[in-house]
Amino acid sequence: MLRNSQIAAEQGAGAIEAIEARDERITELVYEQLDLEPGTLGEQDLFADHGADSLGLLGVLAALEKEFKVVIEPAELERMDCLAGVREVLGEVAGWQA
Amino acid sequence: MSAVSRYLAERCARWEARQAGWGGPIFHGRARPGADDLLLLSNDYLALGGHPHVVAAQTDSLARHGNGLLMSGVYTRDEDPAHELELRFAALLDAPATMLCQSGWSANVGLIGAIAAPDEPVYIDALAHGSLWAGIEAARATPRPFPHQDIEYLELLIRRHGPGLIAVDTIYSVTGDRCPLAALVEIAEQTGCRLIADESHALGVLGPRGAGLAAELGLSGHVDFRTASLAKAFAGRAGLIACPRRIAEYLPFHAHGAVFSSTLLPHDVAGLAAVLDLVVKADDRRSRLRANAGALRDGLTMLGYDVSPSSSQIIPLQPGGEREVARFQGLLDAHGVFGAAFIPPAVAKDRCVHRLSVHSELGGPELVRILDACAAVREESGMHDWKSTRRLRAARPEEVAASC
Repeated sequence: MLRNSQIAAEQGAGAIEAIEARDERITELVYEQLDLEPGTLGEQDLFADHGADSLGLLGVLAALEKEFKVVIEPAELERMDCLAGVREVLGEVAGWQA
Repeated sequence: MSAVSRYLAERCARWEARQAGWGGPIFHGRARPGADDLLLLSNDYLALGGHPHVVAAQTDSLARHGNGLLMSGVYTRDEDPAHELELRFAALLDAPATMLCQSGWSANVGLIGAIAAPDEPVYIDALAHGSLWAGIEAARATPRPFPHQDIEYLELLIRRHGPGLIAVDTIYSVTGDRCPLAALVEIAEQTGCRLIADESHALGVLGPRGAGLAAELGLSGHVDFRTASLAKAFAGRAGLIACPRRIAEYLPFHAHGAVFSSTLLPHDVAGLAAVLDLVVKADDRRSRLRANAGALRDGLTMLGYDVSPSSSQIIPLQPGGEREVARFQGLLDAHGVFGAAFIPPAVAKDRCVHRLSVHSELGGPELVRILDACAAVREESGMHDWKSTRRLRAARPEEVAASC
């Protein structure tokens, strides 16, 4: 992942703000769909350990696809087992610069 | 030990450990209801199962016909006493034809298994009844689930994967909310999909003469297939498919449940016919059912219980985990109020529900008793800490604060 300072140098401070806003939105959607209290998930915390089930994960997938206009294959849910995994898969399918 | 018996032994051991973890009985070993206790387990929403007209019709049929011809409807089709009843149901539902089945399960599995092509996409609400999912498996079609009631995502999926079947319940059996049927019809018509609506919990309850949600919305002619269990407001032991006449001619010979099971028994048919006599004239019961369900939902919400998204006679109290459901049920049982626990596989893990099914003949004093019981068990059941309660508190803070 590029450091914020590198991104700032290459694309300007506005790009960092946009990425931060996007990351924030991803986090919000995950909390909303998994019905979790905000701030209770670490980046590597497994959703399953916080009571997530298949219905919640389907909600996460659908919410991300609608919000970011991307297509995520249901098979990718296996990798989307924590916030970091969600960001990784989403980055790949959206073609975001890593 | 063979791989097969090891698999089974492990499954049984897991089941036994799971039951031990409940900390009390959910099913077997549960306290028996006394004569004065309130039973909110049954789906007999109009309380017609013991009606004298129904009992007389069944006993008379048994005396005259015994158990009838015990064979598949494939052989008995022309003279099957169910045929006249199918015509009466078609008239009620304003459908070209109906076919009676052995159960609601058999209706959905048989229908989808017989009409969906292998690999055809079936867009299914994530909370749709298990029989619709089983039908997809039987057809070897491809399930394309969408989050509960998420019409926007459904449209997105159809654009992506092309036309197929859309499968929904008109009233969901655990959450008690209605599907957005008008929007679903519009999507189906715009995208060339065929719509299956399971009316099990709406038939007899909603619509003119109890014809269901599609009829209530004037959409009977726009839903390709309507199915139902007749073990709810129709208080019997059968299922139903409403469909085009040509499909009704095809199904008895292609829906495997119909081909490989014996047809309905004469006294089942006689009982259903008698219930139908009553249901079409039961506006008073439907009105009382609506009033009772509304009063109970409002009262429970005032007590701090989250019963959303229900808008029907199915009222879900939502402890979350199996252990919490077992505890809650035991406490309510002790107060003489008997509901039904829904645990996996009926619901997803940590979405366990204690369901109260309201019926039309509950009176004011009974409703007060139910609310009193639910009020009394709040502390001991840990209701204030349930995730559902926290959700309600966040959505309606003032109302809930006043109740605590």
